[in-house]
Amino acid sequence: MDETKHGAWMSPSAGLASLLGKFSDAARKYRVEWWILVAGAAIILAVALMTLVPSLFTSYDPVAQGVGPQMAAPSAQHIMGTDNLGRDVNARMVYGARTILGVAIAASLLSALIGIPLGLISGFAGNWLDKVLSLVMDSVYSFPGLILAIAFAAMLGPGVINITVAVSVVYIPTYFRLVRGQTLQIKEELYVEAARAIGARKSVILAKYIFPNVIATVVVVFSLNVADAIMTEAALSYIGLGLPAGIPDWGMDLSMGKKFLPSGVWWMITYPGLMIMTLALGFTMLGEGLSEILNPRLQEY
Amino acid sequence: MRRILRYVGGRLLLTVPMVFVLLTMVFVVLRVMPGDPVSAMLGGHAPQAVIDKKKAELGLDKPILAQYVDYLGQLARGDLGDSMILKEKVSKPISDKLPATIELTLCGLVVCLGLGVPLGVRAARKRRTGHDFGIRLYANVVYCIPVFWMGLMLQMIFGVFLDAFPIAGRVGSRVVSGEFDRTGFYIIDTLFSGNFEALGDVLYHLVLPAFTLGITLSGVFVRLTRANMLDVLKSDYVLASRARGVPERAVVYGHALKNALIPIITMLGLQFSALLAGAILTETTFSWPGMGRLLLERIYLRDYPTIQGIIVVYALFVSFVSLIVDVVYAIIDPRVRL
Amino acid sequence: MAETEREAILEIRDLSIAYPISIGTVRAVEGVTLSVRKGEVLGIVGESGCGKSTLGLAVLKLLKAPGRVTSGSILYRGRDGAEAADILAMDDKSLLDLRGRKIAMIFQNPLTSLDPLVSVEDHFIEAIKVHEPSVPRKECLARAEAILADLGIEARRLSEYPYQLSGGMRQRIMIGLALILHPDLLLADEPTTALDVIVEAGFTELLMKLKRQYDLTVVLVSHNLGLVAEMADRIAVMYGGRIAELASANDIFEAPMHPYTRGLMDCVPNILLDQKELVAMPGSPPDLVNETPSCPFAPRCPKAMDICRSSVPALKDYGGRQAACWLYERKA
Repeated sequence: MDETKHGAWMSPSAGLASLLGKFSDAARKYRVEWWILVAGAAIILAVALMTLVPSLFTSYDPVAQGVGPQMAAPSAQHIMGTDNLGRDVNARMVYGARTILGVAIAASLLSALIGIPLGLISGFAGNWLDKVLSLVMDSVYSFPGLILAIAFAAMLGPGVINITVAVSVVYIPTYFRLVRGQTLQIKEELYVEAARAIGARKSVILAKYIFPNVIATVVVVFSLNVADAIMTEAALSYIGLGLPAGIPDWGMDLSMGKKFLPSGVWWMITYPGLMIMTLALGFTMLGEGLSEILNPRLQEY
Repeated sequence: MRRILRYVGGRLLLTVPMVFVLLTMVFVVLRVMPGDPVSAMLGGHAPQAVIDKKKAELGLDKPILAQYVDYLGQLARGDLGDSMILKEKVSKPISDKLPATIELTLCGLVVCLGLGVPLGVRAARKRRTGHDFGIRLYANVVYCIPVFWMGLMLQMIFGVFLDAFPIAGRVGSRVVSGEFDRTGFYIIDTLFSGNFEALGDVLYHLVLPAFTLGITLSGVFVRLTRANMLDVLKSDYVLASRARGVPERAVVYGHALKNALIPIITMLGLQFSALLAGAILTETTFSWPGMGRLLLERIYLRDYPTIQGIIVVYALFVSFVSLIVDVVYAIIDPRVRL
Repeated sequence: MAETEREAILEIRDLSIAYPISIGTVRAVEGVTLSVRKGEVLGIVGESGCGKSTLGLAVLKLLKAPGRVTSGSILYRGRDGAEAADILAMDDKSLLDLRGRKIAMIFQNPLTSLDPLVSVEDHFIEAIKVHEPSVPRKECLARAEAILADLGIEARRLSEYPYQLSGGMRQRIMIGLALILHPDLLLADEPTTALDVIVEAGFTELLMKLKRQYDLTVVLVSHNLGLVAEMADRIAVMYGGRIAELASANDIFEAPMHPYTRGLMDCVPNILLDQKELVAMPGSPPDLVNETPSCPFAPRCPKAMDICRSSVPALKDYGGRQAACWLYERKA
């Protein structure tokens, strides 16, 4: 998947400058990809703003019952309607953003923090440790991730931290495989061999040559990973394994709305789903845009 | 033929470590985490002596390692053990529910490929036109729709508002599944018993769940097909066959698609686990009596042996599919030597 | 010369081809007029990017998107002297009939020009059946075996797949596929570039043998002047999408008119030619995007004059040979 030409090691400031250069070049070269990236970032920023200043978007309390009639269709007072307990759906959407965004990003970070070092070590060491780690990671990777997440979430019980851990288990192999593969590849590059030949220590080679080269791809994968984690979090709370009652959460709202679907209460399921989809789309677009720009392939004319 | 068998045998051996790793993880997680089947069964207020007696009965008082070795020995004999909660073999509910899941998954796969591959081909042929952009938009949006929400929206539109399709179960109330149920695969059972009315009902109930799964996963295949078709359409042999006067349809579907399918088939192996994960959520949405619902039920009951059994069966299922994928791959591509 | 009387099998008239890209339009071929005479080997020579391959693809109307013909016509007359038809104006059905059956083409890279998933025999069966669907499979195989024998390939190779064959063998099979329906005209686009020198020598011999055996007319597109020298009766030298010089192979090698042709020959090590030293041509290939009213070769030309930089020389006749160069137009 990766066609980057691994340049030699750059100082952080030179690296930053070249990164900025890449972005401004990209704005000109890849017009479509650039707009995809901008649109993705805009969605994410909008949701981030929701989590930071929810009062901008709603004046209702998301958990207060009976702020309106029960199951009222969208109206001027309640633009997304109310749920079966008379709570304002719009307010639940706004406050629910916090939960899902927090869990998805935290879980992806946790996966990356475990997967990347293991991948580096495994790829760099390449002995029995590599074999064992690869076997474990490949097994988990080829297994349906959601089933593992369900098992972990069920055993850990409801809770924000627990669901984060359960989601992160799924994605550790993603980072591990990516980083291990790249490490194996970069290890053979001439400039790394040269560094080894002049006697650079292993830790220095890892930190100075391999890690900076791996990180560009990791950024792209991270963004796509958050999109996936969003859907896994929502899935867990949809089947009732995620969070204790009282925390507004889109997935939970969906499973609640499912009960009233046969009576035609469309707003209780439409809005939470739209929010999940839009947020996931934001991270996907950001990731796709980034991947075109950081990792440009030859454009077809 | 002997070569193929030997290859299949070798590949099956490779699944042993995978099952082993997953099983170990689940085994440890189940026992290290709080909550156990005895408390789940007896409720929180049972006297300690009763709890201890029950635990000893189930072998839960032994050290984890001893329990683990016992379980592996049992498994090696091909026995998934007995449920801790219900008086039944673990294999019983699994063999009851597995056909429902397989039927749903395969139908979803058919929809998924039936939508994804032709759309991808079309996008590649019309690249950089309105068709292409429309199809790519579809692929990206669909990719980001959670499968359970897709199910709910289809239920709402086609089940509730249009009242065109059923939204729950495998058969309607007028059909008695006991009349034809032999293998658990209702399509096959109704076909063989000649009960076409029931077959119609079974298919009718499959429409929404299968499309839910299929549409959601088709995005990946649109993107994959498009990318591979673009590569292949640029290749020299495609140009060469055009220069020999081969009609465009034969070039695209005969030469190009066949070559583009190779990476798609490989991807199918990986995407199958996404399909299984999607099936669990779809089963929940459509009250589909399959493995996913079984897993969730038994998780609440802390029925360790059944949960372990389900994980083992899922792992075997995934390995089996990747084996089939490899064999198909070897049949299509002459360069692969078994 | 006798050749001049021969009838033209293919006539390209004032052909221009453009590729619109994001920064402008690449004018890959500009006003090319060229005729291919029955029974000859016409060499088209030039550096990569000079438009020679594009020209070959245009003859079969196989230009890759977004390339398109902006002006001109390509008249095909055929061996039987039928009425000339403009290939560019043909409908899809006539085009499919033309490709492979009347005009065949072989491509640069034999390693990638065969479908990796299709066996050699299925390649032949397809090649025959698209044009003659009623021919039974058995007869297709018999024909394939016969042509493989001409190519020096054992019949057992028919059941093999491309990955099992060497590059030279794949190239010969490409030729076999091209000739299986006895076309009038064979377009060979850089047929030896991907082959090593020894295989190349054998290839030249084989192609000349087949040309006689199958009564072929050949258009040989190549950057390799040595190869073209060995085979061609006439040579068209292309530069910057235009024809710089067109003459018989002898004339070109004995007395090149265009400074670019001379430069090309100085670049080729050839013990047969009286050559003082090997020279690299200064400068780089022309910019095809920005339109300038000058001879495309002027920036690299050692003999460039003021007029070369201000207007384009036309291809003119100089006693049985043609050149597009101001050097001669002045004198004439």
